Amino acid sequence: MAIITISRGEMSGGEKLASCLADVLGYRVIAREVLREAARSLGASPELLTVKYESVPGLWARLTHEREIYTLAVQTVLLKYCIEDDLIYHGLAGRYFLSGLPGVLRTRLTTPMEIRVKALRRVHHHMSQQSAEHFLKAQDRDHARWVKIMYDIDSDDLSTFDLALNLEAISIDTVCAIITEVVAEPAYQRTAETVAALEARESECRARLQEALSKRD
Amino acid sequence: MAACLAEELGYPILGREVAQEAAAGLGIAEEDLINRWETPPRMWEKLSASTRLYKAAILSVLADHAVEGNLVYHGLCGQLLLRGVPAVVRVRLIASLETRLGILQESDDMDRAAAERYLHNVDDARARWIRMMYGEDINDPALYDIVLNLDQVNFTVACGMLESTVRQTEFNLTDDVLNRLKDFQLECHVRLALASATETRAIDFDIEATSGIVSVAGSAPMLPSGRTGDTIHEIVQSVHGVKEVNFNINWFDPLP
Repeated sequence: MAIITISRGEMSGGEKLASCLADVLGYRVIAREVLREAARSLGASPELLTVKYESVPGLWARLTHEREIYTLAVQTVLLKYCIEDDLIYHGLAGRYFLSGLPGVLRTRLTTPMEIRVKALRRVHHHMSQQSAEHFLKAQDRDHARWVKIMYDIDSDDLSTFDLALNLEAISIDTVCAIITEVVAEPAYQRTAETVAALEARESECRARLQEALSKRD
Repeated sequence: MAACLAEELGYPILGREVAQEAAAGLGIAEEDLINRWETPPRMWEKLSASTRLYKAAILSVLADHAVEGNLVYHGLCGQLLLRGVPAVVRVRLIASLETRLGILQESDDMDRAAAERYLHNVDDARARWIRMMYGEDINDPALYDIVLNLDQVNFTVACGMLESTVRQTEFNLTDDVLNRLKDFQLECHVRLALASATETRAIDFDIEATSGIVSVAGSAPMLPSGRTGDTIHEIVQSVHGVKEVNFNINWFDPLP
């Protein structure tokens, strides 16, 4: 029993993998719920938080107080979910929010552009191959900038993951089986210690959030 | 990890022996080939005939070992040498500097500063080598099927996980896969033959083989005698297993 984070690009099969893992392991899957609940806790609309949190910040906005508040709110909510139960998180920055915690497997899914283009065009039939590829590359660039600015890590930095898997030669089902096998190991079992570590991190984030909120007032 | 996998799967292990066999095949000193192969080339060396020859010789030996499938290769650059070859799992193991320093200090009885210097030099040389030879970033996750962080995933778990991955259907040695491996071996042999011959060693060819039918593509100098084409044909045709040779060559005038 564990917490699994999935980092992936747009249209990379992350949702399908999360769904497969949920079927096999019986874990809860979360992604955007975290953002919605964080928005509620701040009394902001989810749309506003999405814009403030997910968009690539301009130079002037990188270190704003508001951004720090939004980040802490999202992290606190995610940690609360993790304390409650084992889960699969395929939203933003999971590897950063949960780094250094026991019982967490931080995975990365690499998907060839060809597969991603096909997946995008299945959803948007009117899109040409070229524009689909252009769109996905732009998304990747934005995401890499977002990660760099928000957390000062490189999007492709392999050391920020525990396990990276590439769909070029391996099927989603095999990726799912590999992750299932790894999280069955004792190191990923939920114990009093792993829960205590999650609670300590959540408590720290909540305190920092309260402090940041008090300064805003 | 190579030893663990070889034991669990019953596969042979191959590492630096590839360079030894390649050197023997070329009739050169092993040290010369290893130095040239493992040292990042300078810009001008990247395209030189001898670099192409060494690369072709290494690949040819590796293909001979890989043709039956069932092999653990832990030599330099397997992720690129075997790119596109079916039933290959390309694995990268990573660990923090602290972990690696600990291993090195224990195994080689080095002090911390020497171990740190050694690792920095090796990492830097490998990254430069791959950038120069293939124009790739050694840390690009797209170059590997599986990347394992051994700081987080226990070694025994990692070995077991890789073993069960290899046993998945996409890595089965079907007849199609074995035929493709034979084609790959033939491509490597043809590339080596062309890189070895005085008349063609300066030309960079793309080779594709399907069941003994070999397609040669690239740009080559056109001589009034037509001799270049004949020579290429003769060299390729002389390679064991070649049944037919097709050209898709852009001929250019070397003395316009």
